[in-house]
Amino acid sequence: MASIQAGVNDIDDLDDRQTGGKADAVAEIRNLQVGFRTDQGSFNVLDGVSFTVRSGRTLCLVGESGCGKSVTALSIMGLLAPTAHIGRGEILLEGTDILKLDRKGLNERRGDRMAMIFQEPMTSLNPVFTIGDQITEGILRHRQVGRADAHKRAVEMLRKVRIPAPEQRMTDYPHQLSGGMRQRVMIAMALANDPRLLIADEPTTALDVTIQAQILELIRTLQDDTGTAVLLITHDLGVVAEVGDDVAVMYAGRIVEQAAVTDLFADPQHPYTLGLLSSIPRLDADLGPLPTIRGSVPAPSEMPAGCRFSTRCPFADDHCRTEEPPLAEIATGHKVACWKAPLEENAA
Amino acid sequence: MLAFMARRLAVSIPTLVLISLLVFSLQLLLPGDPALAIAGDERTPEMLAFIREKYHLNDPIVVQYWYWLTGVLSGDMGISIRSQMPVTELILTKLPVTLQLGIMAMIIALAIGIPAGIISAVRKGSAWDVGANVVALSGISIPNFWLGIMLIMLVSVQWGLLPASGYTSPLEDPVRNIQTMIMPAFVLGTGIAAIMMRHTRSSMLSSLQADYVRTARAKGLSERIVVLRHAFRNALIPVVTLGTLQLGELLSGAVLTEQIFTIPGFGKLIVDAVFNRDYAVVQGVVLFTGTAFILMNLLADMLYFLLNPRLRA
Repeated sequence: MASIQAGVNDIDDLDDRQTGGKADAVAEIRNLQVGFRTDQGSFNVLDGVSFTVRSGRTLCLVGESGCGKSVTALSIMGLLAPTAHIGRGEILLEGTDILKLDRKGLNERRGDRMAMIFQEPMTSLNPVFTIGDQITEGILRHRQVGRADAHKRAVEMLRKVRIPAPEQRMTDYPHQLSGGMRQRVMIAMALANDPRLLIADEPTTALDVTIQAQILELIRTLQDDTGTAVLLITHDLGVVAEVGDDVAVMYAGRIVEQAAVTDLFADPQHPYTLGLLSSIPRLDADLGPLPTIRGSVPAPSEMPAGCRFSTRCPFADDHCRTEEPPLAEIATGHKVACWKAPLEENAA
Repeated sequence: MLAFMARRLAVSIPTLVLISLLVFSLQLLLPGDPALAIAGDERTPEMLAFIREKYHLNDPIVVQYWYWLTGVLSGDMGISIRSQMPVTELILTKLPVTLQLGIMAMIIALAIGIPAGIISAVRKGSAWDVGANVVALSGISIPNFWLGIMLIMLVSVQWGLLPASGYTSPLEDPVRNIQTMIMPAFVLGTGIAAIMMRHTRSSMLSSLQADYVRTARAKGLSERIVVLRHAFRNALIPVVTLGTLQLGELLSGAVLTEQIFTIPGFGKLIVDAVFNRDYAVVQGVVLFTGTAFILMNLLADMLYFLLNPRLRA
């Protein structure tokens, strides 16, 4: 395990050297391990997750439900449930390891340097306060401004997220707004203090398809204005293709493939990524029944030795089942954790 | 808001009518002839006939109800056959006592129950939580009369700190008044505090799990603000309703506690009236406390309405 870890870090360094000129790293997650204590014992749900989110770019974290995407996001925000514990790893936000900060230090950064929007706009706003109060609260917490200025800033943010008649909406309660509008309010609230990192955890999953596109477009536009780094969590590869710059595919608590979005779609290397891509329905051809990945994600208590995808992988052999493949670079900026990669050469 | 209140008030009227019917029929259900009770020992047939005529006891029940209801509505609830005092006056002299006892008990209940509920929800599973739950369970389980007697034995008899019983009007001697009222208020208050604590705890536990609490934490707010502003404001809604209804119950008089501490409130008034077959007083007190309870319900709805913006839409 130690040697594999060293390998991963080397690759990270290499990656930094190669892309260092492109954009600053806003958040760097290094070798993050998160476990949950349950009555049946303690299980790792994240195992050595590493990635970097860069200024002005959108990194999409993709994977099935339960693969650890949300746990990753919540770890960064320090919002994990009390039953979770971070075993090891580093979460560097603008160079500071936030795992080493006390609660005060963390609270100074949450809602200021980093912010998050959630999957459920219907329940993420407090029903007993007006949206104006809820936006200004965050501004007053982090900025040395008076109520009037905070109010002005909140109205400005509502205008930015294209809420009609923003001044009037300030006194509305959440229940008076639709799901799409509430998500816009959440975005306004998250971006009110110009965070360097915005984490969006499935921000459009609970919304209508037409609203989904609007919200994604909105996040993209605001990002272009501010240069915020975005970590977008989704299970929808369509969303990745639309708004992602980079993508990390997660499976069972590990990153199995990482690349620029165009590279991943053009040349997917991990069998799991291949499976995900081939299970997207297409309208232009009748390919018969939609291909699926056989089996299901192993429970944290039943993780196989070696590659965690080996129980479902059509190419798996004894090597895969005994030794864990490292996340290795197979082309510039394209990393895969698979013994068979590149698939064209190695898989029969 | 006004439309809501008007609607809510309209719904209360049938309830009030029902209470008045029940209260009125009490005298029909109770054993014994009121004419005999009023006449006392000089019960000549002429005397009984006169009494029956005077109090409309010979009229049909519906007519009797009508006489009674119009009287009540004009503030005349009849005369106590024992003390020969108007029932309205009796109620008005006892009301301040019960009101004071009820409010003091409620303050004690809130001051103990709500902080204890919040702490045990925030520190769920800790020694604090377990301790608060044990105390709360004891508070619910221990009968008021037992706690009252124990307190009298300990605080008054053993330590001699407070008077064991009796009542002094606050206008006469405010300090003495508090001294006599604090123990019964405490006895009543702790029982309610236990209920309030349990409700605050479960209400807080569910609101601490809510997504909006996670949002508040994501804003970088301190845990104190997250708990007290975001979680508690929501948890408060059902607790306020419960508290108001409990206050309504307190106003109907704490029969046992008032007996033990010989506090001359509604509880004592109604017990004495029942034993004396003083129907007019029983009716008056039940009608009054029933109405008070309905008003408290109305107040609970109003507070619920004010605290919950979703209803205001």
